Amino acid sequence: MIHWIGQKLNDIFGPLWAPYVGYILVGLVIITLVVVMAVISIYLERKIAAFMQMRLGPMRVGKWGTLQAFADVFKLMLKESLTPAQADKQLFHIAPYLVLTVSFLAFAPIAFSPTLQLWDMNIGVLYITSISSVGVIGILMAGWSSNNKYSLLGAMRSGAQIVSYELSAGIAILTIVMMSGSLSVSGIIQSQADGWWIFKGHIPAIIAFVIFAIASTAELNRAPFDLAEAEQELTAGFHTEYSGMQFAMFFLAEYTNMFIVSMLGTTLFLGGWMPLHIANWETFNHLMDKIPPFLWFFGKVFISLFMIIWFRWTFPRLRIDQLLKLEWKYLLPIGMVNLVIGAIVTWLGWIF
Amino acid sequence: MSQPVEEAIKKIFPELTLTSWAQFPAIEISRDSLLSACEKLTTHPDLRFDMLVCLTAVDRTPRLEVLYHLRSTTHGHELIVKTELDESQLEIPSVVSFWKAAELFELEVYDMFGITFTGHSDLRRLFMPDDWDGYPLRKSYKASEVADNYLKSHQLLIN
Amino acid sequence: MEQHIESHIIQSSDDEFIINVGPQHPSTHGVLHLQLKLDGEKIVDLRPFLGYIHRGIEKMSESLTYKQFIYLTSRMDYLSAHINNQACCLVIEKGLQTEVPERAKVIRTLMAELTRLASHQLWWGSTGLDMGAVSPFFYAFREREMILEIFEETCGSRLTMNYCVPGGVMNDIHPDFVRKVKQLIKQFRENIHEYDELLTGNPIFQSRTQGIGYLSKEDAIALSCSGPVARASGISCDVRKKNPYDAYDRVSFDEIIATEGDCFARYRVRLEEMKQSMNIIEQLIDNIPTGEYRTKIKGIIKLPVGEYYQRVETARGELGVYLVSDGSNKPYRIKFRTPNFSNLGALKPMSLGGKIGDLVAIMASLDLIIPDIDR
Repeated sequence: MIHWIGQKLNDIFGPLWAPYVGYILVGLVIITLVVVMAVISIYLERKIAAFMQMRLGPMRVGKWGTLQAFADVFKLMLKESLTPAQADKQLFHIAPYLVLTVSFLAFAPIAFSPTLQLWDMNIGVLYITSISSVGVIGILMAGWSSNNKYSLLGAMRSGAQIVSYELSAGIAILTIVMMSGSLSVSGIIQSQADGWWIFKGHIPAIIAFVIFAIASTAELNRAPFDLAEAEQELTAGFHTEYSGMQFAMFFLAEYTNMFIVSMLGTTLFLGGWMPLHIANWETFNHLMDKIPPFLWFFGKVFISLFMIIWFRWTFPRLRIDQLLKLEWKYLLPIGMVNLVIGAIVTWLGWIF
Repeated sequence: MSQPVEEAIKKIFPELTLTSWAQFPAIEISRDSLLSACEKLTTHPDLRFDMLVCLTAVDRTPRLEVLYHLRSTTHGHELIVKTELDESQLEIPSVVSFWKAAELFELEVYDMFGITFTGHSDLRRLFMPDDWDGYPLRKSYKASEVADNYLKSHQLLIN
Repeated sequence: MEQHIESHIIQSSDDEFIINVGPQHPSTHGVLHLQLKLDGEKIVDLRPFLGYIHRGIEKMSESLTYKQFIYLTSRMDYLSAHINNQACCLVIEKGLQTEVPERAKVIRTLMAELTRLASHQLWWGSTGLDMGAVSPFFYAFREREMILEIFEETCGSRLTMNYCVPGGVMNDIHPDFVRKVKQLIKQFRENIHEYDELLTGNPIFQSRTQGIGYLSKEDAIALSCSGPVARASGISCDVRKKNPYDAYDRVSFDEIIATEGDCFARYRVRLEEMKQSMNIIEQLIDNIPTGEYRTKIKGIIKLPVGEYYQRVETARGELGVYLVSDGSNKPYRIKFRTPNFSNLGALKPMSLGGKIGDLVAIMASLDLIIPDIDR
């Protein structure tokens, strides 16, 4: 199919322009995919939150409110994007696009199924971690340029938080990279053909998974780590002054990042698109193989998403010093020790 | 059981006459001796009025009464201290040094009656705007007139 | 005017900056305006600015008759509206020396306790909300909605009920009242463990509140705190126990006192108070005396010259009504000693040195109602 599309493009545009047209097409597909995913996750979040709170959630737009997110986007598009009079206009307008672009970029090396991967680079995991940390610059830009003390406080909190938690997330990722011996996304997934890392890597992998779950939730700026936009303290944090489509960009970026984190977690710990196999259960394993790989992948992604949503609607928020204490005094030392344990386990070959 | 507050007051302030305000015993203290009386009221072991429940004023033109409602959490008795002020000289020493609660209460009385509490560190209009004319709870206050003038001077009147 | 305002702004050095919390802010629950001087996230100085919802209730009462001014007081602490009305009715009854029928006393007490329950439930929900946990709010409103429906049936309105009148209550209770109250108590007793599971036992919530916003007993006395705020600092100050009014002298309940003086203590005191309120309601609901629900009082009330005083325990503390009468049909001067106004004074000593997040926790634990401060 992909070959066929390539052939057609070659026929129409000639060998010189065809690759560029192809890139643009791929970009459009990605953007559509991201937007669709974000809309799905917004709907999911609202429904799950509602059920946790004994409500029904959106019910009016479309069947069971399925079109609510589209209605919201439409409303935000019609809304005027205000700029504060004293704001640093250039930075103020760049910030939301930067944040969103960064989220889109991180999609490149994700493998949705064995054949569906945009860019199988050999340092895929490194690429995702590094590109997703650029997002904090956008947040800092937004906070600084708004010329609002609440925004600035929110941005500063967010900066401190993301930079800190990146370490723990990185170390958790490193544990798996070390066990699998590969930095490429497809390599890591291939290494889980005989079992997911969370099972194969037993103790160090489970600890790494927990650290990754906590640290990535913190990197997402979501409750209980949503100090950057802590509504009851800073009204809305770094995006206080944004409205209309510019606000929607931040919103979209948040949900896109949620997907990226879930996908990364799935890839590293839950075997990516690999089906669930249990040793010596031949019939079961055979049945599991029948399920298409991309269903496996998205099934796992949605389970991780549910976890993140569950966190948000259950926990109260931490305070900023408690947040940093949790990272520097607990998560990071535990992660370091875990990395050493992981190294020993890998070295001795105690991986099942 | 500690002795009734009336007897203690009679013993400690022999020069004052004991009256009553609602169901509470009350004493009237002149402005000049207010601080020394407060000193005795808070520290004397038979009194120990450590809580200022309420501080307010009543406009009985041409005089204003300032009322201090005191309570002792150790003995459980209560007392109203009354100080009369003349309309021409609305000044009274602040009692913030005895009861911290007076800090807010005095601001309210200043705002509503225009009684200046000397010694209060941050005397400002608490509820009314800073440039508001007059003191609302005084009987001489003409509410609609003042409000009209205020709105006019700030171009807030909608016709 | 500019100069006036300039002089009110806290002066700050280079390392510090000032932010205004409010008058429109999600965690002030109303139009409270706080000016904070911050050193990074640490609060160095705090100043409250009030008056954004000042309606001059005391002044308005001076030009309203005794029967009319009662209803203004619903708008002070709107979550304890019934208890405010009760205080005013009690002070007028004291002046007229009327005896209220037993039935009215019990109904008033029941309504007051239901009001307290509803108020504490709202407080519990909004505490969770202030801490960033949204879900508790809906759990709190589940039972609160039942209480409001009971109010609606009997009084016709849900929040500012205006149910008390001098001499008794406005109407007799609805025939369904007893059944519904019993059902409410049953359901709330079954569900109250969810409150503990959602917030009380949560380690994040505990670390946000334990040791935060400490108020010593001495400070609480000096600042004239009352209600749950004072009781969490170890002061026994429940008016229902000390100076029983209406039917409180015939019920047995515990006064909840904690000694820690921090936000968590205040939280626990309120949570336990809900259980005590349920106890009171259970004792009274089966024993509502039969008879009149109101004594006849003549159309124009004139109190004899003199001063009158009555205090009640609202959901937030001691409400004192000071009434000076000159013998006419209107109060000469009326003063409401509202619990929130004096509790507000405790905000500064509690929050200095804390973080912005602590301020939110402290405000939640003080449970300030701004119209009650401004009046």
